Amino acid sequence: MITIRVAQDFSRHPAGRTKADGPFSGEHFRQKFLVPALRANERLLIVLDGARGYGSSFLEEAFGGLVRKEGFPREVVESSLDIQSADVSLEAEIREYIHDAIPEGNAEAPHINNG
Amino acid sequence: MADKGWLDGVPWAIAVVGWGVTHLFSEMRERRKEARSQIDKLYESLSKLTIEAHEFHSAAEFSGTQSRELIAKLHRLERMLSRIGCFDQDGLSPAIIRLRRSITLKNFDASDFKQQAAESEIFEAIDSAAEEVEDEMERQYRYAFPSQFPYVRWRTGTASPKIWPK
Repeated sequence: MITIRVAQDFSRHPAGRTKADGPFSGEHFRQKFLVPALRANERLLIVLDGARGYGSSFLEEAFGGLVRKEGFPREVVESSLDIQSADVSLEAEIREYIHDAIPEGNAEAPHINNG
Repeated sequence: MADKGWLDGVPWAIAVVGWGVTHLFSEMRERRKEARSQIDKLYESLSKLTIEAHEFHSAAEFSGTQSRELIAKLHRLERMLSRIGCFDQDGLSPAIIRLRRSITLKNFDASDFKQQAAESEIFEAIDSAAEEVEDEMERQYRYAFPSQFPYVRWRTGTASPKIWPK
């Protein structure tokens, strides 16, 4: 299992949806940490504590984007991610974005290494 | 003689039980007042947050500083809520999520920011979500401290079901 501590490994101020919104956007976080780990079929523990809050656009783009833009099957994402946070609403919100995400037309099913 | 000795202890027992009951209700009254005071402070914070969210979305230009402050204030609000002992966090979460979404999901980043007109759906969503947080806080307060005797709920469970999985 890979552990990602957002505040230490990425930023204490994660914000923004796309890379155009700044260096610590949801899109950047997804592509830098989440996509490589899921492609390698790794389980992930995301530790959200320590950051100064999260905007919904960041959360939706980072986590919902795995299904919507990267084309990962919803079940794979749901079963591969563990989320740790003192704010109980954050995990529920992230899981809703993953659950409700609809793959966009051009999102190709990614290659997942099955060992 | 033995019977008389037993009866001598009755006034003492009544005094001790009476003191215990008085102490218990006094403690409960203090807790209720403390929770009420914390909730009133939360109303103020929520009101300020709502005003600032309106200002952010109605501004002519995107402000990165304001957006960061709004995120930090939402984070702080949730932490303040978690410190109120009588609140069940699982029950509050849907309202908190709706509030965060109403402010920070749409029109919140430089790439998609547009000045919102007064009749914008975003303002309607923010006000509605803030009211929902207030209503849920009030519901949980009334659940923990009912207005009828014994004015407190002796409970081991929670006021709300788990929110995930649905």
